[in-house]
Amino acid sequence: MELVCEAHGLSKQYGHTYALQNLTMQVPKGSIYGLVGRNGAGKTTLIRILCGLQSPTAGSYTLYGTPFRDPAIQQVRRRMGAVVESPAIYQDLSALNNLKLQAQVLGLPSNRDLPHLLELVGLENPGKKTVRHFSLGMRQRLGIAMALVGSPDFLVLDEPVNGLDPQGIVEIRELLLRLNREHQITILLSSHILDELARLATHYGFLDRGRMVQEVSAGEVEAACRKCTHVEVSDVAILARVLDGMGLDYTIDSSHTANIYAHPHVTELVQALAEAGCQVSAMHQQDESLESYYMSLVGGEGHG
Amino acid sequence: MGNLLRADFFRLWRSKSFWACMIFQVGTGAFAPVSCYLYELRHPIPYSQHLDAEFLNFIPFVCILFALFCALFIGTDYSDGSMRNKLLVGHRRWEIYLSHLVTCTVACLLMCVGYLLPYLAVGTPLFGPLETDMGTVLAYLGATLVLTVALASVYTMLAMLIPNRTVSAVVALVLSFGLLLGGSYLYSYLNYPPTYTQMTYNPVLEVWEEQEAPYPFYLEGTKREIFQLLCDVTPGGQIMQCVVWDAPNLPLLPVYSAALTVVTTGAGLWGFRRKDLN
Repeated sequence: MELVCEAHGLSKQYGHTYALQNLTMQVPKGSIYGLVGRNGAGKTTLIRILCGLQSPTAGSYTLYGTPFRDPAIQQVRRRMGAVVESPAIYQDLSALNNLKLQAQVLGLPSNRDLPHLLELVGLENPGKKTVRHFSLGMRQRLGIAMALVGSPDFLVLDEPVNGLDPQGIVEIRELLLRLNREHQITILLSSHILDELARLATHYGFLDRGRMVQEVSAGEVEAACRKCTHVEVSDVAILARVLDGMGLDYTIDSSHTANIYAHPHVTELVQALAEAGCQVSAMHQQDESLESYYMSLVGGEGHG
Repeated sequence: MGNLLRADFFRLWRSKSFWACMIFQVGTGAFAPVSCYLYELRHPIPYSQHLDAEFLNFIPFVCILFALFCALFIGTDYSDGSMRNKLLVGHRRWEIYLSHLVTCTVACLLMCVGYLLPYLAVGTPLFGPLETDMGTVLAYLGATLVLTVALASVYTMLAMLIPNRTVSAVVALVLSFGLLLGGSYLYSYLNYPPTYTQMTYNPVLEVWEEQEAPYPFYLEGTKREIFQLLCDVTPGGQIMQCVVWDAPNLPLLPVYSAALTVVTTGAGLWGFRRKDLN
Protein backbone atom coordinates (compact mmCIF):
# COMPACT_ATOMS: atom_id res chain seq x y z
CA MET A 1 0.00 0.00 0.00
CA GLU A 2 1.52 3.32 -1.07
CA LEU A 3 1.38 5.88 1.73
CA VAL A 4 1.12 9.65 1.35
CA CYS A 5 1.69 10.34 5.02
CA GLU A 6 2.98 8.21 7.83
CA ALA A 7 3.50 9.14 11.49
CA HIS A 8 5.43 7.16 14.09
CA GLY A 9 5.30 7.79 17.83
CA LEU A 10 4.32 11.42 17.28
CA SER A 11 4.05 13.46 20.47
CA LYS A 12 3.42 17.14 21.12
CA GLN A 13 3.68 18.67 24.54
CA TYR A 14 2.56 22.16 25.58
CA GLY A 15 3.99 22.80 29.02
CA HIS A 16 2.95 19.77 31.05
CA THR A 17 0.05 18.86 28.78
CA TYR A 18 0.33 16.32 25.98
CA ALA A 19 -1.74 17.26 22.93
CA LEU A 20 -0.45 14.19 21.09
CA GLN A 21 1.00 11.08 22.64
CA ASN A 22 2.90 8.43 20.74
CA LEU A 23 0.57 8.72 17.76
CA THR A 24 0.95 6.43 14.78
CA MET A 25 -0.95 6.96 11.55
CA GLN A 26 -0.89 5.86 7.93
CA VAL A 27 -2.72 7.73 5.16
CA PRO A 28 -2.96 5.57 2.02
CA LYS A 29 -2.63 7.21 -1.37
CA GLY A 30 -5.97 8.00 -3.01
CA SER A 31 -7.91 7.73 0.23
CA ILE A 32 -10.18 10.15 2.04
CA TYR A 33 -8.88 9.76 5.56
CA GLY A 34 -11.23 11.00 8.27
CA LEU A 35 -9.82 12.02 11.62
CA VAL A 36 -12.45 11.45 14.28
CA GLY A 37 -12.14 12.76 17.80
CA ARG A 38 -13.77 15.02 20.33
CA ASN A 39 -12.60 18.58 21.04
CA GLY A 40 -9.05 18.51 22.37
CA ALA A 41 -8.40 14.99 21.06
CA GLY A 42 -5.44 16.32 19.08
CA LYS A 43 -6.85 16.49 15.54
CA THR A 44 -5.86 20.09 14.85
CA THR A 45 -2.48 19.68 16.55
CA LEU A 46 -1.78 16.67 14.33
CA ILE A 47 -2.79 18.65 11.24
CA ARG A 48 -0.63 21.63 12.29
CA ILE A 49 2.37 19.34 12.72
CA LEU A 50 1.82 17.65 9.37
CA CYS A 51 1.55 21.10 7.73
CA GLY A 52 4.86 22.22 9.26
CA LEU A 53 3.29 24.91 11.43
CA GLN A 54 4.52 23.22 14.60
CA SER A 55 7.30 20.75 15.39
CA PRO A 56 6.61 17.51 17.23
CA THR A 57 8.13 17.15 20.69
CA ALA A 58 8.98 13.52 19.89
CA GLY A 59 8.46 11.02 17.11
CA SER A 60 8.53 11.57 13.39
CA TYR A 61 6.43 11.64 10.26
CA THR A 62 7.01 11.33 6.56
CA LEU A 63 5.28 12.90 3.60
CA TYR A 64 5.58 10.83 0.42
CA GLY A 65 8.32 8.89 2.19
CA THR A 66 10.39 12.00 3.01
CA PRO A 67 11.15 12.41 6.73
CA PHE A 68 10.06 15.76 8.16
CA ARG A 69 13.61 16.68 9.19
CA ASP A 70 14.93 16.10 5.66
CA PRO A 71 15.51 19.45 3.88
CA ALA A 72 13.74 17.93 0.84
CA ILE A 73 10.47 18.08 2.81
CA GLN A 74 10.11 21.73 1.69
CA GLN A 75 9.83 20.54 -1.92
CA VAL A 76 7.44 17.76 -0.93
CA ARG A 77 5.18 20.26 0.83
CA ARG A 78 4.55 21.92 -2.52
CA ARG A 79 2.47 18.83 -3.33
CA MET A 80 0.22 19.64 -0.35
CA GLY A 81 -2.65 22.03 0.10
CA ALA A 82 -4.34 22.71 3.40
CA VAL A 83 -7.05 24.59 5.20
CA VAL A 84 -6.23 24.61 8.89
CA GLU A 85 -9.12 25.76 11.11
CA SER A 86 -10.27 28.90 9.27
CA PRO A 87 -9.55 29.52 5.58
CA ALA A 88 -6.29 31.47 5.18
CA ILE A 89 -7.42 34.31 2.95
CA TYR A 90 -6.82 38.06 2.92
CA GLN A 91 -10.06 39.79 3.88
CA ASP A 92 -9.30 42.97 1.93
CA LEU A 93 -8.61 41.26 -1.38
CA SER A 94 -11.02 39.79 -3.91
CA ALA A 95 -11.26 36.03 -4.44
CA LEU A 96 -9.21 36.21 -7.65
CA ASN A 97 -6.54 38.43 -6.08
CA ASN A 98 -6.24 35.99 -3.19
CA LEU A 99 -5.64 33.19 -5.68
CA LYS A 100 -3.15 35.35 -7.61
CA LEU A 101 -1.27 36.02 -4.39
CA GLN A 102 -1.11 32.31 -3.59
CA ALA A 103 0.08 31.64 -7.15
CA GLN A 104 2.87 34.16 -6.56
CA VAL A 105 3.80 32.53 -3.26
CA LEU A 106 4.08 29.25 -5.14
CA GLY A 107 5.94 30.88 -8.03
CA LEU A 108 3.47 29.68 -10.66
CA PRO A 109 4.32 31.05 -14.10
CA SER A 110 0.73 31.64 -15.16
CA ASN A 111 -2.58 32.66 -13.57
CA ARG A 112 -4.57 31.17 -16.44
CA ASP A 113 -6.08 28.33 -14.40
CA LEU A 114 -7.21 30.46 -11.48
CA PRO A 115 -10.73 31.30 -12.80
CA HIS A 116 -11.16 27.58 -13.46
CA LEU A 117 -10.33 26.91 -9.80
CA LEU A 118 -13.03 29.33 -8.69
CA GLU A 119 -15.43 27.53 -11.00
CA LEU A 120 -14.38 24.16 -9.55
CA VAL A 121 -15.28 25.23 -6.02
CA GLY A 122 -18.51 26.91 -7.12
CA LEU A 123 -17.39 30.55 -6.94
CA GLU A 124 -17.78 31.38 -10.61
CA ASN A 125 -18.87 35.00 -10.28
CA PRO A 126 -17.54 36.51 -7.06
CA GLY A 127 -16.72 39.75 -8.93
CA LYS A 128 -14.49 42.34 -7.32
CA LYS A 129 -16.18 41.93 -3.95
CA THR A 130 -13.61 41.62 -1.17
CA VAL A 131 -13.56 38.43 0.86
CA ARG A 132 -14.71 40.43 3.91
CA HIS A 133 -18.19 40.48 2.35
CA PHE A 134 -18.27 36.76 1.57
CA SER A 135 -20.55 34.34 3.39
CA LEU A 136 -18.98 31.61 5.52
CA GLY A 137 -19.67 29.02 2.84
CA MET A 138 -18.02 31.17 0.15
CA ARG A 139 -14.97 31.62 2.39
CA GLN A 140 -14.72 27.87 2.98
CA ARG A 141 -14.92 27.27 -0.75
CA LEU A 142 -12.31 29.95 -1.44
CA GLY A 143 -10.10 28.43 1.27
CA ILE A 144 -10.26 25.11 -0.55
CA ALA A 145 -9.56 26.87 -3.87
CA MET A 146 -6.48 28.49 -2.25
CA ALA A 147 -5.32 25.07 -1.13
CA LEU A 148 -5.76 23.79 -4.69
CA VAL A 149 -3.72 26.54 -6.38
CA GLY A 150 -0.52 24.53 -6.67
CA SER A 151 -2.40 21.47 -8.03
CA PRO A 152 -1.63 19.47 -4.90
CA ASP A 153 -2.17 15.75 -4.70
CA PHE A 154 -2.58 15.74 -0.92
CA LEU A 155 -5.22 17.97 0.64
CA VAL A 156 -5.44 18.50 4.39
CA LEU A 157 -8.70 20.01 5.66
CA ASP A 158 -9.49 20.79 9.25
CA GLU A 159 -13.24 20.96 9.85
CA PRO A 160 -14.08 22.00 6.27
CA VAL A 161 -17.84 22.04 6.86
CA ASN A 162 -17.76 23.82 10.20
CA GLY A 163 -20.51 26.42 10.38
CA LEU A 164 -21.95 25.64 6.97
CA ASP A 165 -25.66 25.32 6.28
CA PRO A 166 -27.00 21.94 5.07
CA GLN A 167 -26.76 22.97 1.42
CA GLY A 168 -23.19 24.18 1.91
CA ILE A 169 -22.27 20.89 3.58
CA VAL A 170 -23.64 18.93 0.62
CA GLU A 171 -21.76 21.15 -1.86
CA ILE A 172 -18.46 20.78 -0.01
CA ARG A 173 -19.00 17.03 0.23
CA GLU A 174 -19.62 16.77 -3.49
CA LEU A 175 -16.57 18.91 -4.20
CA LEU A 176 -14.32 16.74 -2.04
CA LEU A 177 -15.64 13.55 -3.60
CA ARG A 178 -15.05 15.01 -7.06
CA LEU A 179 -11.50 16.05 -6.16
CA ASN A 180 -10.78 12.60 -4.81
CA ARG A 181 -12.38 10.63 -7.64
CA GLU A 182 -11.71 12.82 -10.67
CA HIS A 183 -8.40 14.41 -9.67
CA GLN A 184 -7.04 11.53 -7.58
CA ILE A 185 -6.32 13.86 -4.67
CA THR A 186 -5.69 12.17 -1.33
CA ILE A 187 -7.63 13.98 1.37
CA LEU A 188 -7.01 14.06 5.11
CA LEU A 189 -9.87 15.73 6.91
CA SER A 190 -11.15 16.15 10.41
CA SER A 191 -14.76 16.75 11.26
CA HIS A 192 -17.09 16.75 14.20
CA ILE A 193 -20.01 15.88 11.99
CA LEU A 194 -19.57 12.12 11.95
CA ASP A 195 -22.57 11.39 9.72
CA GLU A 196 -21.03 13.69 7.14
CA LEU A 197 -17.63 12.09 7.52
CA ALA A 198 -19.24 8.68 7.09
CA ARG A 199 -20.45 9.73 3.63
CA LEU A 200 -16.93 10.72 2.55
CA ALA A 201 -14.20 8.79 4.25
CA THR A 202 -12.60 5.65 2.91
CA HIS A 203 -10.40 5.34 6.01
CA TYR A 204 -10.76 6.51 9.60
CA GLY A 205 -8.38 7.37 12.39
CA PHE A 206 -10.05 7.54 15.79
CA LEU A 207 -8.25 9.85 18.20
CA ASP A 208 -8.76 10.22 21.90
CA ARG A 209 -6.66 12.26 24.35
CA GLY A 210 -3.85 12.62 21.82
CA ARG A 211 -3.63 8.92 21.03
CA MET A 212 -4.67 7.02 17.93
CA VAL A 213 -7.21 4.55 19.30
CA GLN A 214 -7.80 2.77 16.02
CA GLU A 215 -7.13 3.09 12.30
CA VAL A 216 -9.65 1.32 10.20
CA SER A 217 -11.02 1.31 6.67
CA ALA A 218 -14.57 2.43 5.90
CA GLY A 219 -15.36 -1.14 4.82
CA GLU A 220 -14.37 -2.49 8.21
CA VAL A 221 -16.43 0.15 9.99
CA GLU A 222 -19.38 -0.63 7.74
CA ALA A 223 -19.07 -4.33 8.52
CA ALA A 224 -18.98 -3.57 12.23
CA CYS A 225 -21.88 -1.15 11.95
CA ARG A 226 -24.14 -3.16 9.66
CA LYS A 227 -27.85 -3.22 10.36
CA CYS A 228 -29.19 -6.13 12.38
CA THR A 229 -32.31 -7.35 14.11
CA HIS A 230 -31.80 -7.96 17.79
CA VAL A 231 -33.97 -10.76 19.21
CA GLU A 232 -34.61 -12.06 22.72
CA VAL A 233 -35.86 -15.63 22.89
CA SER A 234 -36.48 -18.35 25.49
CA ASP A 235 -34.04 -20.81 23.85
CA VAL A 236 -31.24 -19.54 21.68
CA ALA A 237 -30.30 -23.08 20.50
CA ILE A 238 -33.75 -23.46 18.86
CA LEU A 239 -33.36 -19.98 17.34
CA ALA A 240 -30.00 -20.97 15.85
CA ARG A 241 -31.50 -24.14 14.33
CA VAL A 242 -34.38 -22.16 12.81
CA LEU A 243 -32.11 -19.42 11.44
CA ASP A 244 -29.78 -22.03 9.92
CA GLY A 245 -32.80 -23.57 8.29
CA MET A 246 -33.82 -20.18 6.86
CA GLY A 247 -30.25 -19.48 5.69
CA LEU A 248 -29.87 -16.23 7.67
CA ASP A 249 -26.58 -14.79 8.96
CA TYR A 250 -26.55 -14.29 12.74
CA THR A 251 -24.44 -14.02 15.89
CA ILE A 252 -25.33 -15.31 19.34
CA ASP A 253 -24.89 -12.74 22.11
CA SER A 254 -26.06 -14.77 25.13
CA SER A 255 -28.24 -17.74 26.04
CA HIS A 256 -31.31 -15.61 25.28
CA THR A 257 -30.19 -12.95 22.76
CA ALA A 258 -28.91 -12.95 19.19
CA ASN A 259 -28.39 -10.56 16.25
CA ILE A 260 -29.72 -11.43 12.82
CA TYR A 261 -27.86 -9.67 9.95
CA ALA A 262 -30.62 -9.64 7.39
CA HIS A 263 -34.20 -8.58 7.03
CA PRO A 264 -36.08 -11.69 8.17
CA HIS A 265 -39.75 -12.09 7.40
CA VAL A 266 -40.90 -11.48 10.96
CA THR A 267 -44.20 -13.43 10.80
CA GLU A 268 -42.50 -16.45 9.26
CA LEU A 269 -39.66 -16.38 11.79
CA VAL A 270 -41.97 -16.04 14.81
CA GLN A 271 -44.24 -18.84 13.52
CA ALA A 272 -41.24 -21.12 12.91
CA LEU A 273 -39.90 -20.44 16.40
CA ALA A 274 -43.34 -21.04 17.99
CA GLU A 275 -43.69 -24.34 16.15
CA ALA A 276 -40.20 -25.34 17.48
CA GLY A 277 -41.24 -24.41 21.02
CA CYS A 278 -39.30 -21.18 21.38
CA GLN A 279 -40.93 -17.99 22.69
CA VAL A 280 -39.93 -14.57 21.28
CA SER A 281 -39.99 -11.95 24.05
CA ALA A 282 -38.51 -8.96 22.12
CA MET A 283 -37.36 -8.04 18.66
CA HIS A 284 -36.03 -4.69 17.38
CA GLN A 285 -33.90 -3.20 14.62
CA GLN A 286 -30.39 -2.03 15.47
CA ASP A 287 -28.54 0.46 13.22
CA GLU A 288 -25.07 1.19 14.61
CA SER A 289 -23.66 4.45 13.26
CA LEU A 290 -20.11 5.79 12.99
CA GLU A 291 -20.93 7.83 16.08
CA SER A 292 -21.88 4.79 18.16
CA TYR A 293 -18.86 2.93 16.76
CA TYR A 294 -16.63 5.81 17.90
CA MET A 295 -18.32 5.98 21.30
CA SER A 296 -17.91 2.26 21.77
CA LEU A 297 -14.20 2.69 20.97
CA VAL A 298 -13.39 5.60 23.24
CA GLY A 299 -16.19 5.24 25.81
CA GLY A 300 -18.39 8.02 27.14
CA GLU A 301 -16.19 9.01 30.05
CA GLY A 302 -15.13 12.62 30.01
CA HIS A 303 -17.01 13.39 26.81
CA GLY A 304 -19.24 16.35 26.81
CA MET B 1 12.34 33.92 -1.57
CA GLY B 2 11.75 35.83 -4.80
CA ASN B 3 8.23 34.41 -4.91
CA LEU B 4 7.55 35.57 -1.38
CA LEU B 5 8.87 39.04 -2.13
CA ARG B 6 6.70 39.30 -5.23
CA ALA B 7 3.67 38.20 -3.18
CA ASP B 8 4.45 40.62 -0.33
CA PHE B 9 4.91 43.55 -2.71
CA PHE B 10 1.69 42.57 -4.49
CA ARG B 11 -0.03 42.87 -1.12
CA LEU B 12 1.83 46.06 -0.18
CA TRP B 13 0.56 47.72 -3.35
CA ARG B 14 -2.99 46.83 -2.29
CA SER B 15 -2.49 47.59 1.41
CA LYS B 16 -4.81 50.29 2.76
CA SER B 17 -2.57 50.90 5.78
CA PHE B 18 0.41 51.54 3.49
CA TRP B 19 -1.47 54.05 1.34
CA ALA B 20 -2.94 55.73 4.41
CA CYS B 21 0.59 56.20 5.80
CA MET B 22 1.84 57.45 2.42
CA ILE B 23 -0.99 59.98 2.12
CA PHE B 24 -0.22 61.19 5.65
CA GLN B 25 3.48 61.55 4.83
CA VAL B 26 2.95 63.31 1.49
CA GLY B 27 0.36 65.61 3.10
CA THR B 28 2.64 66.45 6.02
CA GLY B 29 5.59 66.97 3.67
CA ALA B 30 3.62 69.43 1.55
CA PHE B 31 1.93 71.15 4.48
CA ALA B 32 5.03 71.70 6.68
CA PRO B 33 6.76 74.37 4.53
CA VAL B 34 3.44 76.13 3.78
CA SER B 35 2.72 76.27 7.50
CA CYS B 36 6.21 77.70 8.22
CA TYR B 37 5.80 80.24 5.44
CA LEU B 38 2.43 81.42 6.74
CA TYR B 39 3.89 81.69 10.26
CA GLU B 40 6.79 83.78 8.98
CA LEU B 41 4.37 86.10 7.20
CA ARG B 42 2.49 86.66 10.46
CA HIS B 43 5.62 86.97 12.64
CA PRO B 44 8.42 88.36 10.41
CA ILE B 45 10.59 89.46 13.34
CA PRO B 46 12.49 87.91 15.16
CA TYR B 47 11.73 84.64 13.28
CA SER B 48 13.46 83.88 10.04
CA GLN B 49 12.42 80.49 8.71
CA HIS B 50 14.54 78.47 6.36
CA LEU B 51 14.08 75.17 4.58
CA ASP B 52 16.48 73.24 6.85
CA ALA B 53 14.36 73.82 9.98
CA GLU B 54 11.65 71.25 9.28
CA PHE B 55 13.59 69.09 6.85
CA LEU B 56 14.20 66.17 9.24
CA ASN B 57 11.28 66.90 11.56
CA PHE B 58 9.38 63.98 10.13
CA ILE B 59 11.50 61.33 11.90
CA PRO B 60 9.68 61.31 15.27
CA PHE B 61 6.35 60.94 13.44
CA VAL B 62 7.56 58.12 11.23
CA CYS B 63 8.92 56.34 14.29
CA ILE B 64 5.28 55.99 15.41
CA LEU B 65 3.93 55.49 11.89
CA PHE B 66 6.36 52.61 11.18
CA ALA B 67 5.29 50.91 14.42
CA LEU B 68 1.65 51.01 13.31
CA PHE B 69 2.33 50.03 9.73
CA CYS B 70 4.58 47.03 10.48
CA ALA B 71 2.18 45.72 13.13
CA LEU B 72 -0.79 46.03 10.76
CA PHE B 73 0.93 44.73 7.63
CA ILE B 74 2.56 41.68 9.21
CA GLY B 75 -0.27 41.20 11.72
CA THR B 76 -2.68 40.77 8.80
CA ASP B 77 -0.63 37.78 7.66
CA TYR B 78 -1.22 36.25 11.07
CA SER B 79 -4.85 37.29 11.56
CA ASP B 80 -5.97 36.28 8.07
CA GLY B 81 -4.03 33.03 8.46
CA SER B 82 -1.99 33.52 5.32
CA MET B 83 1.31 33.03 7.18
CA ARG B 84 0.22 29.38 7.21
CA ASN B 85 -0.21 29.33 3.43
CA LYS B 86 3.43 30.29 2.98
CA LEU B 87 4.74 27.71 5.42
CA LEU B 88 2.70 24.78 4.29
CA VAL B 89 3.69 25.14 0.66
CA GLY B 90 7.31 24.68 1.71
CA HIS B 91 8.74 28.16 2.28
CA ARG B 92 11.34 28.25 5.01
CA ARG B 93 10.74 30.40 8.04
CA TRP B 94 13.80 32.55 7.50
CA GLU B 95 12.60 33.30 3.96
CA ILE B 96 9.20 34.40 5.23
CA TYR B 97 10.84 36.57 7.92
CA LEU B 98 13.31 38.23 5.57
CA SER B 99 10.66 38.79 2.92
CA HIS B 100 8.54 40.67 5.46
CA LEU B 101 11.58 42.60 6.66
CA VAL B 102 12.49 43.69 3.13
CA THR B 103 8.90 44.65 2.31
CA CYS B 104 8.44 46.65 5.52
CA THR B 105 11.84 48.34 5.10
CA VAL B 106 11.05 49.38 1.53
CA ALA B 107 7.62 50.63 2.64
CA CYS B 108 9.20 52.67 5.48
CA LEU B 109 11.82 54.15 3.15
CA LEU B 110 9.07 55.07 0.68
CA MET B 111 7.23 56.84 3.51
CA CYS B 112 10.38 58.88 4.22
CA VAL B 113 10.69 59.78 0.55
CA GLY B 114 6.95 60.50 0.63
CA TYR B 115 7.65 63.31 3.11
CA LEU B 116 10.97 64.59 1.73
CA LEU B 117 10.03 65.05 -1.93
CA PRO B 118 6.88 67.14 -1.37
CA TYR B 119 8.70 69.08 1.36
CA LEU B 120 11.47 70.07 -1.05
CA ALA B 121 9.09 70.57 -3.96
CA VAL B 122 6.83 72.94 -2.00
CA GLY B 123 9.47 74.41 0.32
CA THR B 124 12.18 75.35 -2.20
CA PRO B 125 10.04 77.95 -4.05
CA LEU B 126 9.00 79.44 -0.69
CA PHE B 127 12.33 79.52 1.17
CA GLY B 128 14.99 78.87 -1.42
CA PRO B 129 17.40 75.92 -1.27
CA LEU B 130 18.74 74.27 1.88
CA GLU B 131 21.26 76.44 3.73
CA THR B 132 23.29 73.57 5.16
CA ASP B 133 26.07 72.34 2.87
CA MET B 134 25.24 69.35 0.69
CA GLY B 135 27.80 67.07 2.40
CA THR B 136 26.19 67.57 5.82
CA VAL B 137 22.68 67.19 4.37
CA LEU B 138 23.64 63.91 2.72
CA ALA B 139 25.34 62.67 5.92
CA TYR B 140 22.22 63.38 8.01
CA LEU B 141 19.96 61.93 5.31
CA GLY B 142 22.10 58.79 5.19
CA ALA B 143 21.99 58.42 8.98
CA THR B 144 18.21 58.94 8.88
CA LEU B 145 17.69 56.31 6.20
CA VAL B 146 19.86 53.72 8.01
CA LEU B 147 17.89 54.57 11.16
CA THR B 148 14.70 53.92 9.18
CA VAL B 149 15.99 50.45 8.31
CA ALA B 150 16.80 49.81 12.00
CA LEU B 151 13.33 50.92 13.10
CA ALA B 152 11.70 48.73 10.44
CA SER B 153 13.80 45.84 11.70
CA VAL B 154 12.78 46.39 15.34
CA TYR B 155 9.07 46.62 14.48
CA THR B 156 9.27 43.65 12.09
CA MET B 157 10.77 41.57 14.88
CA LEU B 158 7.92 42.50 17.22
CA ALA B 159 5.23 41.87 14.61
CA MET B 160 6.72 38.50 13.63
CA LEU B 161 7.01 37.31 17.22
CA ILE B 162 3.61 38.52 18.44
CA PRO B 163 0.88 36.81 16.39
CA ASN B 164 -1.96 38.91 17.80
CA ARG B 165 -2.20 42.00 15.60
CA THR B 166 -3.73 44.23 18.27
CA VAL B 167 -1.21 43.25 20.94
CA SER B 168 1.63 43.65 18.46
CA ALA B 169 0.40 47.14 17.47
CA VAL B 170 0.06 48.23 21.10
CA VAL B 171 3.51 46.90 22.04
CA ALA B 172 5.08 48.59 18.99
CA LEU B 173 3.35 51.90 19.76
CA VAL B 174 4.39 51.80 23.41
CA LEU B 175 7.95 51.03 22.31
CA SER B 176 7.96 53.89 19.80
CA PHE B 177 6.79 56.37 22.45
CA GLY B 178 9.31 54.90 24.88
CA LEU B 179 12.09 55.36 22.35
CA LEU B 180 11.09 58.97 21.70
CA LEU B 181 10.73 59.85 25.38
CA GLY B 182 14.00 58.10 26.26
CA GLY B 183 15.80 59.87 23.42
CA SER B 184 14.35 63.20 24.43
CA TYR B 185 15.45 62.62 28.04
CA LEU B 186 18.99 61.69 27.05
CA TYR B 187 19.33 64.55 24.59
CA SER B 188 18.00 67.16 27.00
CA TYR B 189 20.46 66.03 29.70
CA LEU B 190 23.33 66.31 27.24
CA ASN B 191 22.26 69.84 26.34
CA TYR B 192 22.20 71.38 29.75
CA PRO B 193 24.70 74.26 29.83
CA PRO B 194 27.79 73.93 32.05
CA THR B 195 26.93 77.17 33.87
CA TYR B 196 24.02 79.51 34.27
CA THR B 197 23.73 83.14 35.24
CA GLN B 198 22.68 83.65 38.83
CA MET B 199 21.41 86.98 40.12
CA THR B 200 22.55 87.74 43.68
CA TYR B 201 21.79 90.78 45.76
CA ASN B 202 24.81 92.61 47.20
CA PRO B 203 23.59 94.21 50.47
CA VAL B 204 26.75 96.32 50.81
CA LEU B 205 26.48 97.91 47.40
CA GLU B 206 22.73 97.47 47.36
CA VAL B 207 22.74 96.17 43.77
CA TRP B 208 21.86 92.93 41.96
CA GLU B 209 24.98 91.23 40.57
CA GLU B 210 25.26 88.62 37.84
CA GLN B 211 27.28 85.56 38.75
CA GLU B 212 28.11 82.46 36.65
CA ALA B 213 27.22 79.35 38.66
CA PRO B 214 27.76 75.68 37.67
CA TYR B 215 24.55 74.09 36.38
CA PRO B 216 23.63 71.22 38.74
CA PHE B 217 22.40 68.84 35.99
CA TYR B 218 25.33 69.40 33.63
CA LEU B 219 26.93 66.04 32.82
CA GLU B 220 30.67 65.70 32.98
CA GLY B 221 33.31 63.02 32.56
CA THR B 222 32.31 59.35 32.31
CA LYS B 223 28.65 60.10 33.00
CA ARG B 224 28.50 62.43 30.00
CA GLU B 225 30.25 59.84 27.83
CA ILE B 226 27.75 57.15 28.86
CA PHE B 227 24.78 59.45 28.14
CA GLN B 228 26.28 60.41 24.77
CA LEU B 229 26.85 56.73 23.92
CA LEU B 230 23.25 55.85 24.87
CA CYS B 231 22.00 58.82 22.85
CA ASP B 232 24.02 57.63 19.84
CA VAL B 233 23.09 53.96 20.14
CA THR B 234 19.35 54.19 20.80
CA PRO B 235 17.03 55.05 17.91
CA GLY B 236 15.26 57.63 20.08
CA GLY B 237 18.52 59.45 20.81
CA GLN B 238 19.48 59.37 17.14
CA ILE B 239 16.09 60.79 16.18
CA MET B 240 16.51 63.74 18.55
CA GLN B 241 20.02 64.49 17.29
CA CYS B 242 19.04 64.29 13.61
CA VAL B 243 15.92 66.45 13.99
CA VAL B 244 18.01 69.39 15.27
CA TRP B 245 21.04 68.70 13.05
CA ASP B 246 23.18 68.24 16.15
CA ALA B 247 24.95 64.89 16.21
CA PRO B 248 28.55 65.20 17.42
CA ASN B 249 29.22 61.55 16.47
CA LEU B 250 27.28 61.60 13.18
CA PRO B 251 29.52 59.09 11.33
CA LEU B 252 28.91 56.53 14.08
CA LEU B 253 25.11 56.72 14.02
CA PRO B 254 24.63 54.56 10.87
CA VAL B 255 27.05 52.01 12.35
CA TYR B 256 24.95 51.73 15.52
CA SER B 257 21.75 51.54 13.46
CA ALA B 258 23.21 48.80 11.27
CA ALA B 259 24.27 46.87 14.39
CA LEU B 260 20.75 47.23 15.81
CA THR B 261 19.33 45.92 12.51
CA VAL B 262 21.59 42.87 12.63
CA VAL B 263 20.83 42.14 16.30
CA THR B 264 17.04 42.52 16.02
CA THR B 265 16.91 40.53 12.77
CA GLY B 266 19.00 37.76 14.32
CA ALA B 267 16.83 37.67 17.44
CA GLY B 268 13.65 37.77 15.37
CA LEU B 269 14.80 34.94 13.09
CA TRP B 270 15.79 32.84 16.11
CA GLY B 271 12.44 33.42 17.81
CA PHE B 272 10.35 32.90 14.67
CA ARG B 273 12.12 29.62 13.83
CA ARG B 274 11.20 28.21 17.23
CA LYS B 275 7.65 29.53 17.22
CA ASP B 276 4.61 27.27 17.13
CA LEU B 277 2.07 28.74 14.73
CA ASN B 278 -1.66 28.15 14.86
